[in-house]
Amino acid sequence: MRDVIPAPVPSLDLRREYGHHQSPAIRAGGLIFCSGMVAIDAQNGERQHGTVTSEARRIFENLKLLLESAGSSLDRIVQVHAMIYDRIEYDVLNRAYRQYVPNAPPARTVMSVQIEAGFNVMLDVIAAAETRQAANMAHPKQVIEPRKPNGDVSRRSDLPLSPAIRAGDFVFLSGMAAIDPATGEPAHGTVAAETRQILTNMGELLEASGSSLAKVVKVGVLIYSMLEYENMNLAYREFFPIDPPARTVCGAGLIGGHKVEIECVVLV
Amino acid sequence: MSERLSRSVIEPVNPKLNVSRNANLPHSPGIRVGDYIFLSGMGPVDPVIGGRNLGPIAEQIRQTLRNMAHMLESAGSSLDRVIKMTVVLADSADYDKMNQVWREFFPTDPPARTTCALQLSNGNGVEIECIALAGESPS
Repeated sequence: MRDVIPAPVPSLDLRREYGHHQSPAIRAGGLIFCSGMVAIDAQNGERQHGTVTSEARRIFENLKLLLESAGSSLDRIVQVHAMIYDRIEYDVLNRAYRQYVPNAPPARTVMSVQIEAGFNVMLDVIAAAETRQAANMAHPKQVIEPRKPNGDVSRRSDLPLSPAIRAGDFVFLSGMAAIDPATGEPAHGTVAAETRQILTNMGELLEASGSSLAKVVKVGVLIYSMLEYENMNLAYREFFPIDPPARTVCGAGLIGGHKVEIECVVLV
Repeated sequence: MSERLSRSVIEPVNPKLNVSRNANLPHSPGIRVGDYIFLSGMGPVDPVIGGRNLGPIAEQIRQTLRNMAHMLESAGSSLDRVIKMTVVLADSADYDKMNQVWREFFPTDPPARTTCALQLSNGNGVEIECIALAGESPS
């Protein structure tokens, strides 16, 4: 079961307000995968740029609404990618952050990235749902191989990573860059072209594992510059016509001169 | 069959590697939820002195992966049960060196992985987080 969690109030739906092609959160396999959250005014949907502290507080208030509307809560958060614009504000972030997760806080990685619309903070969250169906552990850990080995850079270049791993209810995909499936060479192009190539290859890899893009739960997009966000978003939406996955997009340094890199988690 | 999904904190047996507790940071070393373990981002911490081990990048990566193995084993899991890793390098030029170390630690069926280059603090050259399957034993 892959359930879209709607925004707790319409103003917090970034797809509605800003055309971000993502669902607020997706519940699957006992987990709730939230899209990257920034400081949005829950009353009117306006972006509320502020300090690291004020943005973090607003995000946590909205996150509380979102998780509670899905039967979870802040104290059920499992993992956070805490994105900040500059690591120099690490202790400022911590001071606000700890007020919302005072006991048994989630696992966390703090990442200094370029955040959408010039925000200082973004939180990318996975939380535990209240209950789940018993997991299918018939395949405790299984490597997923692509149908066309040439089109997979990890196989062609003998890189020490697997294209995808199935574990229990989920398949976790490695970050994918744009590769020409015919030659196995990098397909450098515009952000839109690289996005299309990656998602085409991703769809084929998922079908090799008996899944499909329609079952994607959460997507992580790394982009070399957030100035190209719209170019990515417009190409991306072609591949997820209905109920798009939860998604987090951030600007980061990419390996090998690529402009876009995309990873995802899929429900088996 | 529906079950109440358990959520528990994971801590390393070696207290020197409990960075978040020692520095009073607002995160847990790891969280187990159901059959999965999520570890916080880890850096090259010396397991004897508890301070940073800022040697050559390959040694930093080895140290971080050894610490990750310790963390997972403390929770009844292990490196060979890792599913997905996220690697942050301070310098993307270290990508090939990272892959060399990866082959030492993951000779067969390596985990899925995403790598990017970001600003890191305190001179760390690498930070690694992972998602793993929990061990066979019930928590």
